[in-house]
Amino acid sequence: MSALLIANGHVVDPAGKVDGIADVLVENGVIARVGKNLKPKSAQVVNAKGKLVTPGLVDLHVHLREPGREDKETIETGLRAALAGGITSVVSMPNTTPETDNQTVVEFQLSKARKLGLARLFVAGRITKGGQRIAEMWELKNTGAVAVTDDGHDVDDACLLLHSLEWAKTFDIPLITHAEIASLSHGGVMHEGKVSQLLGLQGQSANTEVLAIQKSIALAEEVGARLHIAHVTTARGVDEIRRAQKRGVRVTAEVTPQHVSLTHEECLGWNTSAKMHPPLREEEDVRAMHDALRDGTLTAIATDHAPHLVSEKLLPFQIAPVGTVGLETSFAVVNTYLIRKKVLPLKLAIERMTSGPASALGLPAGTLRPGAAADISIFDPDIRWIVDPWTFQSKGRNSVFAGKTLYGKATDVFVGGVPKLRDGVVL
Amino acid sequence: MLEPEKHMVGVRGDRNLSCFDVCSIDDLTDDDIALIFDCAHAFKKLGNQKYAFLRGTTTFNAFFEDSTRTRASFELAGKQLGSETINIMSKGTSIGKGETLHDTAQTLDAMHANVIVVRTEFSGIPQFLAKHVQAAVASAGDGMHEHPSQGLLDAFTLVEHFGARQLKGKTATVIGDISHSRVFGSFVRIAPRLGLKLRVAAPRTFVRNGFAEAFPSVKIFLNVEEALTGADIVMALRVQEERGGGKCLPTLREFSKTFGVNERRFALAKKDAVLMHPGPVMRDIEVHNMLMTRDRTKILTQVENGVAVRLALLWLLARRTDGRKKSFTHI
Repeated sequence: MSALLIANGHVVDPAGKVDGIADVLVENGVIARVGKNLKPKSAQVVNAKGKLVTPGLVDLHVHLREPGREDKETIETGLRAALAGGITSVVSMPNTTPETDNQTVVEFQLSKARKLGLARLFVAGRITKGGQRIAEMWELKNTGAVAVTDDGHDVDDACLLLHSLEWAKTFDIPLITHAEIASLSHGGVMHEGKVSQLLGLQGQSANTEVLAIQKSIALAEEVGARLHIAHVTTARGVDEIRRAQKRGVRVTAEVTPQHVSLTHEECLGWNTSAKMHPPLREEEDVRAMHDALRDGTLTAIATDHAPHLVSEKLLPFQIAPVGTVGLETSFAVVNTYLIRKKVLPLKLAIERMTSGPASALGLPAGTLRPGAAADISIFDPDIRWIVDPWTFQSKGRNSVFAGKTLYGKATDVFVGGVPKLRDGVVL
Repeated sequence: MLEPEKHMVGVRGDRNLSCFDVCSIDDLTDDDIALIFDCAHAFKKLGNQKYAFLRGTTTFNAFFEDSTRTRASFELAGKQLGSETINIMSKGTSIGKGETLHDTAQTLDAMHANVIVVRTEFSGIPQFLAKHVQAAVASAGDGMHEHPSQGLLDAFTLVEHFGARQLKGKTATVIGDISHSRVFGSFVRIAPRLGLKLRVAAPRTFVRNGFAEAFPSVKIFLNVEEALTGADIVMALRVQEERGGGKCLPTLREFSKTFGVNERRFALAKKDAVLMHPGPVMRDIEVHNMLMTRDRTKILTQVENGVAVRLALLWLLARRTDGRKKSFTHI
């Protein structure tokens, strides 16, 4: 029997209601106990004094690009990046080439990840085949897909979205929407507001998202399907979600680290690293995200990690691709902008990065309760560092946080009790 | 040195621009603007002349978008100053094909350009080039952002007509497609520098979210008559159909009826008000045909002044007398 003791760390396991100095005992890759002064007969001991010990973080929104755009990212580099960020479970987005709209691609991704043995991969398949008809969701689920989404685009055809929700409901598959009314956002390359005016760029208004959230909630409510709304960015958008949850609609939602910390001002200077869909919004939207994270309207923080080539991001703002990488800055951003600034209490912030996202899609992850797989992350929350994308494990250098000073880094990560990151180095 | 050159050197004195590139009105200090206007004024008075100021220099007119008057104006100015002017005119050039901007910039720079004049459909490109090339960059219009040489010539035309001191406190009304207009983008930045009070008359479709925050001193009118009443300066803008402006209007016919400047509407402005338009004018759409030939209509004066302003701009950018060198970064 192999045993591992992570000793004297500040253990935060929101699902297990733990928040204090404690030891974590792992036996055979499974959490055995969390408690004070554990004295196993024999165990490898990791001293976590002064550090933060959490369930391995869960990221519901990651673009791994494989198959198809291995020049931007591979399953391997993406999962290594996740480990470097203290993330042990990622949900991959299906906008690959070929699309992840069939069992073959799901099987390929899962088998690749299994062989790599890095962070855990959960695969999302597509809602539709090319926005034209419903993808074979039942088969996707049977192959291992945990959700379906057409992320990158909404399902513009409302009838198709309705029937997709019905199909998903039939087989109890969570459906993730990218909320965007395409006809309204058309041509808009950033948030429509003061900064788009100053930069001479066409914007997309908040209503682009708000109306799409209303649409998908209304249809999901009619069907009774499980709806998860990806990367919410607007104050009025979270209001819609909050109201729906109060009426009992089965809707959950996530927000990205960038949308809880930055505004459209990042685009000044035509900064293409700050170009993303949905776009960075305004101060009041950021504050609304904070409120929604506090009151539980938003239960997940997910990165929308979107790696692109350096050369693509050197294109003019209007035609540069959208997105920022985020796996390796996720915890540090939350720590720097939310925890240290007392926007969110530590325990709640960790909940939004562990059990919150896990339960949104029903993933077996995000807790240190006895019997759970020993996915554990250890952070030094006080390390001060300046983000240099050239040091990333990810192939993507397009970080909106490049050059910013952040606090906190993962030092050690275990997946199934096996060390995968030690002293900040991916093993 | 020939007489006109001596005169110009005297006008300029030992003055230089505070900046090395002109990509935005915001790049220029009030002194810079005064210097440009002093030189432009003198160039204009001297008429069609040949100068040797820029002999041995190369000016690239990199026009990645259609242009007639601006390109001709920059080319003429470059040639009058003795610079080798080279025109690169192709719609959807290498940039559109996916060449990265730094490649485009560095290619032109490798040809030892002294000045790169750039016109592009992409906002922010002149600024980007300016950061990464040795050459001085002059924007000839970028996307929906700015058209600084146009802003300068518009302002110069007003200063010339009213006098700098008398211009302060005057009211300018800009009519039309402000949301897609880079001409407006520069005028809205230079107008406060002249002490102008700025009004905008536009249908709500052209007033996008954030406008009031970005340009808080501008007063917006949805009614063109109200906006024109008592104005000293009236500037009509072209409807930018190619930039999607068409989607914001039912028809040009309806725009013309509701926002076109006709004699009846122009009469609401002050008796001695001037009428401006950056061109090209869609006659009878933005400006009624009859108004085009009036004395108070400055449209052709704007074109004439465009050459004078660009003579000043190119001279000042390509020939510094203070020995300062622009710093830039290769990427």
